[in-house]
Amino acid sequence: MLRIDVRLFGAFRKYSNGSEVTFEVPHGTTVSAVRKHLGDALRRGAAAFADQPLLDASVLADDNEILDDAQLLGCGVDRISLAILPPVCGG
Amino acid sequence: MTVLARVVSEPIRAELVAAELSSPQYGAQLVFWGLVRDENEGKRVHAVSYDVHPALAEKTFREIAEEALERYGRQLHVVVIHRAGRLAVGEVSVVVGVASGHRDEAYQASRYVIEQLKTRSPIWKQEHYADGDSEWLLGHSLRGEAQGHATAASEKP
Repeated sequence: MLRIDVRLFGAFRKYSNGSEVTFEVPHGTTVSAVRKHLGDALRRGAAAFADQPLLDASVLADDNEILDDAQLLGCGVDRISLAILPPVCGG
Repeated sequence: MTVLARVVSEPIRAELVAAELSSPQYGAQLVFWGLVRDENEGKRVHAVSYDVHPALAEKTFREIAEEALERYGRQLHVVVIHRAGRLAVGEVSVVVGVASGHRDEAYQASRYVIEQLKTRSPIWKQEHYADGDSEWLLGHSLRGEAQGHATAASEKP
């Protein structure tokens, strides 16, 4: 199994512990499927998640780029760190 | 051409921005200062917390600045600095500085960079109100950014 740590940003910080969610998925799981797993993990959190439109409008990223929904994760590694990026509003 | 792209937690100093943009080759310096204002949609704002993904934000700043150079001239010098953390009303949240040979490309490049920054940079605002409430602001979805860039927004800072 692939262990995924997802850092929370923006409006996601009010859910779970406010900083990170960790869960496991099979190796080769798509980014799109990981987003669904993240929703499940957030719904299990201490501060229950109930904002599916926010998750649908968000993207997953690593420290270098936003990940495409069809991309496969976990090739050759057992643990990765991602971030969930809700709609942005800098400036 | 050069680009400076930073996310910082300390106040942005005007003299450092001016020094960064100074060079005998430049006849124009244009600096946009974005500040925390005291009102939004009828609510009195006391402060704004900026949540930032630093690595991705600085990478996005550099990409946007490079695009500005491609569009408006490789000789431009572009500075993009954004604050992270909780800022009081009146504090500077973002600076876009452009130095160029002439004013026209400086105005165009500055406008391009700030509009793209607002729609593409992984930065989020939480407003803190006078009544004690707080709220994360709605923004621009990054879905589609993996395949291409978003269009510039018309929203004002």
